[in-house]
Amino acid sequence: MSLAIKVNDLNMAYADGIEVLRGFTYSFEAGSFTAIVGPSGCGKSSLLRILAGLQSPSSGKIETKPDTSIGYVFQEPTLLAWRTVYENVALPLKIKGLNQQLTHTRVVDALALVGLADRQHALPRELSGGMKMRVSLARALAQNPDVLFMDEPFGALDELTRLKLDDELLDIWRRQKCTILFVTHTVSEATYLAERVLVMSSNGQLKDDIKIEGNTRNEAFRASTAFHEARLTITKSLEHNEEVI
Amino acid sequence: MMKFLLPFFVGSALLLFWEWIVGFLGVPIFVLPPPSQIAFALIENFTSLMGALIVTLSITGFAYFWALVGGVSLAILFTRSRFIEMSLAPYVVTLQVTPVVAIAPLILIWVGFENTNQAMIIIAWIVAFFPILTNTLQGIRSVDGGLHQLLQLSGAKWWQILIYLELPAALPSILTGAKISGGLALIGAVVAEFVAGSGTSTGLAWRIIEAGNRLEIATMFAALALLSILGIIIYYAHNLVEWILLRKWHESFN
Ligand SMILES: Nc1ncnc2c1ncn2[C@@H]1O[C@H](COP(=O)(O)OP(=O)(O)OP(=O)(O)O)[C@@H](O)[C@H]1O
Ligand SMILES: [Mg+2]
Repeated sequence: MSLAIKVNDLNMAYADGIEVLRGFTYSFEAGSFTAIVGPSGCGKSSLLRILAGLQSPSSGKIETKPDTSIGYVFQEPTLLAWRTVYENVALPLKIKGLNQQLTHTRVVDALALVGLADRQHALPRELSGGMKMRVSLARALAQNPDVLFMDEPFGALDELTRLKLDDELLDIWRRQKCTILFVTHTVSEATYLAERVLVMSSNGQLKDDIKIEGNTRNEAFRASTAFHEARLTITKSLEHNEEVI
Repeated sequence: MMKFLLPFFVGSALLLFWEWIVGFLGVPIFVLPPPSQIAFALIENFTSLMGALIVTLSITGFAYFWALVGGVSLAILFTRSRFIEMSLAPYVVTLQVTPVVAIAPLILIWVGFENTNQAMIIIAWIVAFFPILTNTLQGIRSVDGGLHQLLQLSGAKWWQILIYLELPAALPSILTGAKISGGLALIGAVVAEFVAGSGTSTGLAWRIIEAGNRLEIATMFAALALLSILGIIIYYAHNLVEWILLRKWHESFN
């Protein structure tokens, strides 16, 4: 298996002395689905931003394959209110200088993938929260990302919508074979989606790397003992963390 | 519909009352002429007043146009470079806080009395330009950080960020600034005409002074009414532009 991102001894401290990452070292395999959980404020968003190159770390080394294309889904839908769904999804492609025709196919495909083919001409404010999030996902997918960063993408949605989007995401991941880094607060979501779950401690260290056994992601898996055991392991790892503080 | 009918009835009632009370109390015409006399003066001097209106309108229009261009450009410049902003901002503020009436004579001298029109445009421009600058600045600065990062990830150049994100996002603020500036440009034009004095200016403000000197109070009121109407048109034209540009996507039109 080849590596998508290799991180070595990453440290991050903000100007006011807040340390959010300490000696973070990890290798993300190409095509893997990794979830990252940890207490609020431990530096998950910072980690994602640094790995995506949006922010530079205080020290450490990040290696990615050359010409890695990146998709990023923020916690908020972050759509341009004055642009239609289609234009929002097309914007990154337009900026990258892709020709009209290719842009069109990619946008239409991505919107079909997230089930919004018929809302192309809608403006963001005419959509529900879940739909906006799907536009945001489509925008990331349209860039054919090798690595997809997702920062609590479905955190603001209701349980049912989230479960549905989780399944859609898994479908997409299987089809596109991209590497996904998925930050979430919800342990069961991490367990259900990911092949590996990284648990971060509140002082910004990588505490545990938990492999989820039993690879079928479907309703049966959700009911299985493997699922519950994995969920328990992660929860324990998180709880222990709280006791330490 | 009520929005138009109510003010209309209030206005009509007020005019009727004005007409009646002036006659009833026997107020001399050179103190407060009745509306009928003002209307009569307006009709009588229609061509000359319209000429004056066009003069004032063109000063206002040019000042407003350059305020828009200058304010938005300067805001773009300031947000590109902290260095430029730090260097220039104090002077922009100085220009703003110095009473324009005090600088106006200087401007007239510098620009030269053979170019009073340009001098008046500059004076009105000084009055009008600040709100556009500050509103555009504020609009560009409050663009959502996530949206910025999004464009950054796509490898957008600074000018792409400007045209795809910052200017459209700042548009509501720019329009608010423009609305204030439109009104201020008119005030600036009137101030400029006052300062330039009679003989050189031929706009509405000058007509007001001239009519005052000749005690043609009805004509004075007619010119004043035209100025008010001009101000109202400027204000509602901005509302219309806002409605056209923002109604589809902005929260203020829900
Ligand atoms: N730009 C910044 N400047 C200074 N401090 C920051 C900045 N961004 C984040 N921090 C601080 O770094 C810490 C980690 O923030 P981060 O957003 O990475 O946490 P998180 O794990 O994503 O939290 P959450 O789960 O609540 O989203 C917080 O204490 C925050 O206050
Ligand atoms: Mg976060």
